[in-house]
Amino acid sequence: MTAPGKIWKAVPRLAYSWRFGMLAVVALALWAGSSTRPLWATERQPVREIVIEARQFDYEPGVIRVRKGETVRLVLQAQDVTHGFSLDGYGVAMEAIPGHAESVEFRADRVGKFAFRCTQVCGASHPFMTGSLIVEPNSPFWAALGVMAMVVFALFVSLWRMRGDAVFGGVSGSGAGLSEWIPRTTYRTARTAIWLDFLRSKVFRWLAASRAVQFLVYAIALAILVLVVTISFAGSSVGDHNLAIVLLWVVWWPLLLLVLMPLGGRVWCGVCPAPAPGEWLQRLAFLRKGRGQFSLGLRWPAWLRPPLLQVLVFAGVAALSGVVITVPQATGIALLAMVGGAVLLSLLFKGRTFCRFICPLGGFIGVYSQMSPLALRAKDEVVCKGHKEKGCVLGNGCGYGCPWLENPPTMQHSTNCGLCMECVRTCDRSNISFGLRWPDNLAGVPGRVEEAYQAVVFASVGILFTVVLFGPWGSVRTWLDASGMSGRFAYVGILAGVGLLGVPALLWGMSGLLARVPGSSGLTARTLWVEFSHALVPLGMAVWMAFALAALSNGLPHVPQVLADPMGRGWNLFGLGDVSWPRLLPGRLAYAQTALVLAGLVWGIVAWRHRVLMLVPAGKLSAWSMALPVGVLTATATGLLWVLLG
Amino acid sequence: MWSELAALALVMLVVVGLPLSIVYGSRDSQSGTITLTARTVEHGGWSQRTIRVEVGKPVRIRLTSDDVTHGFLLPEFGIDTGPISPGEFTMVEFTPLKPGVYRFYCNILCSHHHGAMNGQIVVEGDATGAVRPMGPVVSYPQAAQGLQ
Repeated sequence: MTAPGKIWKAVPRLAYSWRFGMLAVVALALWAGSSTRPLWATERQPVREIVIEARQFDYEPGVIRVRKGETVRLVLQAQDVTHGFSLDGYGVAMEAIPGHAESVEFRADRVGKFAFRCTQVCGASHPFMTGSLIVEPNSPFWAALGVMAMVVFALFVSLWRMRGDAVFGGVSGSGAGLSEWIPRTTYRTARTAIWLDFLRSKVFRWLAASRAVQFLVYAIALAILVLVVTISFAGSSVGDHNLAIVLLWVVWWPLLLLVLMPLGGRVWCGVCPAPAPGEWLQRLAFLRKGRGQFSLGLRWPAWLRPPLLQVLVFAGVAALSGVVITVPQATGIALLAMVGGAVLLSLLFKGRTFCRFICPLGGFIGVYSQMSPLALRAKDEVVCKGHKEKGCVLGNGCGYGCPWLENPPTMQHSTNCGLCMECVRTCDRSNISFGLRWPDNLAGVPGRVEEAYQAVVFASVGILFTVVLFGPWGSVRTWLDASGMSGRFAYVGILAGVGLLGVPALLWGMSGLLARVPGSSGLTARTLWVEFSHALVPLGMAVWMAFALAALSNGLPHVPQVLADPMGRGWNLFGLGDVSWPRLLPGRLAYAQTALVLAGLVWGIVAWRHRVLMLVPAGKLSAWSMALPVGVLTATATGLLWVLLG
Repeated sequence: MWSELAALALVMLVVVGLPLSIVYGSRDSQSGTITLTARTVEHGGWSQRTIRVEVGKPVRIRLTSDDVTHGFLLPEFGIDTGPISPGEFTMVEFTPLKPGVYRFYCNILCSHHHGAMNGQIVVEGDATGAVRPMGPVVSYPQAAQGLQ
């Protein structure tokens, strides 16, 4: 019987669990509803007055709790400099200069958690000056938890029951029964094949292989980069009014996280202008294949091949992110450092060593490219085996050997493929395919330690960011500021201790535990750790996407302003200064973020089950090896929901 | 070969020409307008502590802030702009008719050293033409200035 048939058979089971879950939600809603004020209690209540002290870059209290139906008067007292206050979802706003308190009064008739933020630029870390109003009963939070519990339960039950089968598509015609173990190789051939090869189109192949087109793309991207760097130094020194900051962190960053990475994986690396000057210099050629090289052409040392250096650079940038994303000059310096680093390494080493081993974003996009359906692979291993010239590795008259130091014939992961299309040019057997297929994360490709460690670090840094930026601890946000050194050290300490060491070690412990559980079929702690780290990738990506969505939402109103006055001179180009763009999803941002987290959780659970299934014969799969990782993922997601909604 | 040179020219244009043209093209071209940028005293205070102007000539000052909200108070001319928000511009115009030294202050608390945030306008020239004691005072709080 084929797999789709089995999926249909599983539907009734799914329905039972859905019914169970809905019951749970109704029960939760009743419980939450019972604690509200009864409807007949309509007598006029006294106004609830709450004094908020605002100082750089924190509100006191940072979390305000009121009950639904209360009339609330918020009094804003600016303690040091002028501050603003704007409450999402209620459209309430005010500004206070020091010494003159302002107040607003409103009826709290919408339940849930609503962020408020400073609206008057009050220093570099002004974008992080937020707090939250919780109107109780906080039923959206409980509803989200209920939905999550329901989904996880349904997923767990159905995955567990279908444990011998390939879920979602599967291997047709393999004849695998419900309790049979499908050999990994069968999975691989069925799932790693590219099913929509863009290179079959002559036009696309020409576009992909043309050096002129690539040069033009680089030139345009480089022009934008030069513009951004110039304006970061020459434009307004106020972040929200600087075109470079807004273009980079409100437009490009969300575009990268929300569109390019999920759909195209490393497609950004294929057009990124940062390494272009170095590469042109290294090749001494723009439009043709250069013959000589202007580079020492050294080999990257083997002991530096594991991405530890890249992780450290990433952590360094993450530690300074509060400054880099708010201070225009810091953004400019960071961009110049990337271009400079790329040029330097191009002159020393062969290929794109900067992108592959140093670029903080390179490792990040690389690991998350396993979430993307876009991939480049050799079509037929046999053709490559019979082809001794190996132009894709060594280079030939048509092009250079893989600049990313990959080996296209045997490449199984998208992680280190920069989509530069060099192998499309060098392969004279047309054996390269580039198109859509199962994302690596689900494709049955064995995990590797490098990606596993990076995945854990990126996920934990992302979660840490979420906790800091959206969590209730306003004082932690002040650590992001450049001025406070002690706070910065504490922040770096937490980042390194938790992100680089703590969480990986914790997961290692969990894997060790899992390896000792009977029924884990002799899998080592190392294997389990690697595979679980890969199952953490979707949740990590969701967290970063949620972060990017917030940047987009909060920054959107600044876009027409900086376009009207790109140099910070008080211009009003094209009358854009009078255009006001609203924020995206004010008051509902957290729900969109919650949806992302839930999607990441579901994907993670499916990925784990899928990955572990390839390692363990189905009959020997212990319930623990499903329950413990699913529990860890769900607990993480619960914590995230609490930060976002609770 | 020619195409390579053309490509090189294009790259040089982007890398060298673009920043130069941006910086050169966006210089303040309004002669006679003084741009006065406010920063907290810890970061340098007013961008000009002393502004020299000539008696009888209209003075236009464009005020902005680099960090937090500041104020601009020039008591002798009756000018109080109200809040000067970071990144936004406020225009002030007046005509001094009497030589002298006039102090201006930040009048919105901006830092611990807010009290030290002041400067002076030195009106130079002889007062022969100054029959009236004081010229007309014009203040445009929060007036955004369009592209000239």
